[in-house]
Amino acid sequence: MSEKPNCKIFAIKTTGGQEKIVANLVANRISMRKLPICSILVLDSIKGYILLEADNAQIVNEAVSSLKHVKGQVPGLIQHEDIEKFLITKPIINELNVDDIVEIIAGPFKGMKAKINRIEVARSEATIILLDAPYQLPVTIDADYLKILSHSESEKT
Amino acid sequence: MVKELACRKCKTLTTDRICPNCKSKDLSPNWSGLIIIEDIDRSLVAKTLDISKTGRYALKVT
Repeated sequence: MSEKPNCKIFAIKTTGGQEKIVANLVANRISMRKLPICSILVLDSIKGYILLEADNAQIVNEAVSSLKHVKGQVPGLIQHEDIEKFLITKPIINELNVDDIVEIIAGPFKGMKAKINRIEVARSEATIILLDAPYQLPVTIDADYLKILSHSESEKT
Repeated sequence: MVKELACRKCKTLTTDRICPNCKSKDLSPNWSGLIIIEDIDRSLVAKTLDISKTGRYALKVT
Protein backbone atom coordinates (compact mmCIF):
# COMPACT_ATOMS: atom_id res chain seq x y z
CA MET A 1 0.00 0.00 0.00
CA SER A 2 1.42 3.37 -0.99
CA GLU A 3 1.96 6.01 1.68
CA LYS A 4 -0.02 9.24 1.48
CA PRO A 5 2.08 12.27 0.43
CA ASN A 6 2.94 14.91 3.01
CA CYS A 7 1.03 18.20 3.03
CA LYS A 8 2.44 21.42 1.57
CA ILE A 9 2.68 24.64 3.56
CA PHE A 10 0.79 27.79 2.50
CA ALA A 11 0.86 31.24 4.11
CA ILE A 12 -2.20 33.40 4.75
CA LYS A 13 -1.91 37.13 5.42
CA THR A 14 -4.04 38.32 8.33
CA THR A 15 -4.60 41.48 10.31
CA GLY A 16 -1.70 41.93 12.75
CA GLY A 17 -2.46 40.58 16.20
CA GLN A 18 -5.51 38.58 15.05
CA GLU A 19 -3.61 35.44 13.99
CA LYS A 20 -4.98 33.18 16.76
CA ILE A 21 -8.56 34.33 16.10
CA VAL A 22 -8.16 33.54 12.39
CA ALA A 23 -6.64 30.14 13.25
CA ASN A 24 -9.66 29.32 15.43
CA LEU A 25 -12.07 30.43 12.68
CA VAL A 26 -10.23 28.28 10.13
CA ALA A 27 -10.27 25.30 12.53
CA ASN A 28 -14.04 25.69 12.94
CA ARG A 29 -14.54 25.83 9.18
CA ILE A 30 -12.34 22.76 8.63
CA SER A 31 -14.39 20.71 11.07
CA MET A 32 -17.70 21.98 9.62
CA ARG A 33 -16.83 21.43 5.96
CA LYS A 34 -14.53 18.42 6.58
CA LEU A 35 -11.70 20.03 4.60
CA PRO A 36 -8.50 17.98 4.16
CA ILE A 37 -6.16 20.37 5.96
CA CYS A 38 -3.33 18.82 7.98
CA SER A 39 -2.51 21.60 10.42
CA ILE A 40 -2.74 25.31 11.23
CA LEU A 41 0.26 27.17 12.58
CA VAL A 42 0.50 30.51 14.34
CA LEU A 43 4.11 31.49 14.95
CA ASP A 44 4.80 34.51 17.13
CA SER A 45 7.95 35.24 15.15
CA ILE A 46 5.93 35.62 11.91
CA LYS A 47 3.51 38.45 12.67
CA GLY A 48 0.52 39.01 10.43
CA TYR A 49 0.58 35.55 8.87
CA ILE A 50 -0.73 32.09 9.67
CA LEU A 51 0.47 28.91 7.98
CA LEU A 52 -1.75 26.12 6.72
CA GLU A 53 -0.66 22.63 5.76
CA ALA A 54 -2.80 21.33 2.89
CA ASP A 55 -2.63 19.41 -0.39
CA ASN A 56 -3.25 22.38 -2.67
CA ALA A 57 -4.05 26.09 -2.78
CA GLN A 58 -7.72 25.54 -3.64
CA ILE A 59 -8.38 23.81 -0.32
CA VAL A 60 -6.59 26.63 1.52
CA ASN A 61 -8.64 29.19 -0.40
CA GLU A 62 -11.86 27.43 0.56
CA ALA A 63 -10.76 27.33 4.22
CA VAL A 64 -10.03 31.05 4.49
CA SER A 65 -12.30 32.71 1.89
CA SER A 66 -14.44 35.56 3.26
CA LEU A 67 -13.25 35.02 6.83
CA LYS A 68 -12.87 38.05 9.06
CA HIS A 69 -9.29 39.41 9.47
CA VAL A 70 -8.02 37.45 6.43
CA LYS A 71 -6.25 39.77 3.98
CA GLY A 72 -5.32 37.21 1.36
CA GLN A 73 -3.36 34.18 0.37
CA VAL A 74 0.37 34.42 -0.26
CA PRO A 75 1.18 32.90 -3.67
CA GLY A 76 3.58 29.98 -3.71
CA LEU A 77 4.67 27.45 -1.15
CA ILE A 78 6.65 27.77 2.07
CA GLN A 79 9.48 25.26 2.43
CA HIS A 80 9.39 23.14 5.56
CA GLU A 81 13.09 23.87 6.16
CA ASP A 82 12.30 27.59 6.37
CA ILE A 83 9.90 27.21 9.29
CA GLU A 84 11.75 24.40 11.05
CA LYS A 85 13.94 26.85 12.96
CA PHE A 86 10.83 28.49 14.43
CA LEU A 87 9.37 25.15 15.53
CA ILE A 88 12.37 23.70 17.32
CA THR A 89 13.16 25.88 20.31
CA LYS A 90 16.48 25.62 22.07
CA PRO A 91 16.38 24.46 25.71
CA ILE A 92 16.67 27.44 28.06
CA ILE A 93 19.63 25.87 29.91
CA ASN A 94 21.87 26.72 26.94
CA GLU A 95 20.96 30.40 27.19
CA LEU A 96 21.65 30.73 30.92
CA ASN A 97 24.92 32.12 32.27
CA VAL A 98 26.29 32.53 35.79
CA ASP A 99 25.26 35.89 37.37
CA ASP A 100 22.23 36.30 35.06
CA ILE A 101 19.14 37.72 36.74
CA VAL A 102 16.16 35.40 36.33
CA GLU A 103 12.55 35.17 37.44
CA ILE A 104 11.14 31.93 38.81
CA ILE A 105 7.93 31.16 36.93
CA ALA A 106 6.70 28.06 38.74
CA GLY A 107 6.94 26.23 42.03
CA PRO A 108 6.92 27.56 45.62
CA PHE A 109 9.20 30.50 44.73
CA LYS A 110 7.06 31.59 41.76
CA GLY A 111 7.37 35.31 40.99
CA MET A 112 10.64 35.78 42.90
CA LYS A 113 13.78 37.16 41.29
CA ALA A 114 17.09 35.39 41.60
CA LYS A 115 20.71 35.40 40.48
CA ILE A 116 22.27 32.30 38.92
CA ASN A 117 25.07 30.84 41.00
CA ARG A 118 25.81 27.55 39.21
CA ILE A 119 24.49 25.71 36.15
CA GLU A 120 24.27 21.92 35.72
CA VAL A 121 23.68 21.42 32.01
CA ALA A 122 23.49 17.61 32.17
CA ARG A 123 20.63 17.66 34.69
CA SER A 124 19.07 20.82 33.22
CA GLU A 125 19.21 22.45 36.65
CA ALA A 126 20.49 25.75 37.97
CA THR A 127 21.45 26.78 41.50
CA ILE A 128 20.14 30.25 42.15
CA ILE A 129 20.33 32.78 44.97
CA LEU A 130 17.01 34.43 45.74
CA LEU A 131 17.26 38.22 45.61
CA ASP A 132 14.01 38.81 47.48
CA ALA A 133 15.13 36.77 50.51
CA PRO A 134 16.69 38.74 53.41
CA TYR A 135 19.68 36.38 53.52
CA GLN A 136 21.53 34.34 50.87
CA LEU A 137 19.42 31.30 50.10
CA PRO A 138 20.76 28.99 47.39
CA VAL A 139 18.06 26.88 45.72
CA THR A 140 18.52 24.27 42.98
CA ILE A 141 15.71 24.50 40.46
CA ASP A 142 14.82 23.09 37.02
CA ALA A 143 15.96 25.43 34.25
CA ASP A 144 12.53 25.25 32.60
CA TYR A 145 11.11 27.13 35.58
CA LEU A 146 13.38 30.13 34.96
CA LYS A 147 12.85 33.15 32.75
CA ILE A 148 15.83 35.36 31.90
CA LEU A 149 15.30 38.99 32.93
CA SER A 150 18.79 40.34 32.21
CA HIS A 151 22.14 38.89 31.27
CA SER A 152 25.24 39.36 33.42
CA GLU A 153 27.58 42.31 32.75
CA SER A 154 30.39 40.01 31.54
CA GLU A 155 28.01 38.50 28.95
CA LYS A 156 26.98 41.93 27.62
CA THR A 157 30.58 43.10 26.98
CA MET B 1 -13.94 33.67 26.93
CA VAL B 2 -12.25 31.01 29.07
CA LYS B 3 -8.49 31.34 28.98
CA GLU B 4 -6.63 28.33 27.67
CA LEU B 5 -3.81 26.82 29.70
CA ALA B 6 -0.84 24.92 28.26
CA CYS B 7 0.55 21.73 29.75
CA ARG B 8 4.23 22.18 30.64
CA LYS B 9 4.94 18.53 29.81
CA CYS B 10 3.22 17.89 26.47
CA LYS B 11 2.24 21.50 25.48
CA THR B 12 -1.41 20.54 24.93
CA LEU B 13 -3.84 23.45 25.30
CA THR B 14 -6.83 22.95 27.54
CA THR B 15 -9.44 24.92 29.45
CA ASP B 16 -9.61 22.28 32.20
CA ARG B 17 -7.46 22.10 35.33
CA ILE B 18 -5.90 18.83 34.17
CA CYS B 19 -4.18 18.03 30.87
CA PRO B 20 -6.46 15.79 28.73
CA ASN B 21 -3.40 14.27 27.01
CA CYS B 22 -0.93 13.36 29.80
CA LYS B 23 -3.17 13.97 32.86
CA SER B 24 -0.59 16.38 34.29
CA LYS B 25 -1.71 19.20 36.56
CA ASP B 26 1.33 21.34 35.70
CA LEU B 27 -0.46 23.86 33.48
CA SER B 28 0.68 27.36 32.58
CA PRO B 29 -1.20 30.44 31.39
CA ASN B 30 2.02 31.76 29.81
CA TRP B 31 2.35 30.20 26.38
CA SER B 32 3.03 31.39 22.85
CA GLY B 33 2.56 30.06 19.34
CA LEU B 34 -0.44 27.94 18.35
CA ILE B 35 -0.48 24.68 16.43
CA ILE B 36 -3.74 22.96 15.52
CA ILE B 37 -3.08 19.46 14.19
CA GLU B 38 -5.91 17.96 12.12
CA ASP B 39 -4.21 15.11 10.21
CA ILE B 40 -1.46 13.46 12.23
CA ASP B 41 -0.26 11.08 9.50
CA ARG B 42 0.44 13.65 6.80
CA SER B 43 1.45 16.72 8.80
CA LEU B 44 5.17 17.49 8.58
CA VAL B 45 4.88 19.87 11.52
CA ALA B 46 3.48 17.11 13.74
CA LYS B 47 6.37 14.86 12.73
CA THR B 48 8.93 17.61 13.45
CA LEU B 49 7.46 18.26 16.89
CA ASP B 50 6.84 14.54 17.67
CA ILE B 51 3.12 15.10 18.15
CA SER B 52 1.14 11.86 18.05
CA LYS B 53 -2.43 13.07 18.67
CA THR B 54 -4.60 15.61 16.90
CA GLY B 55 -5.53 18.71 18.84
CA ARG B 56 -4.38 22.15 19.91
CA TYR B 57 -0.82 22.71 21.09
CA ALA B 58 1.33 25.63 22.22
CA LEU B 59 4.76 26.08 20.69
CA LYS B 60 6.47 27.51 23.75
CA VAL B 61 5.35 27.17 27.36
CA THR B 62 6.99 29.20 30.14
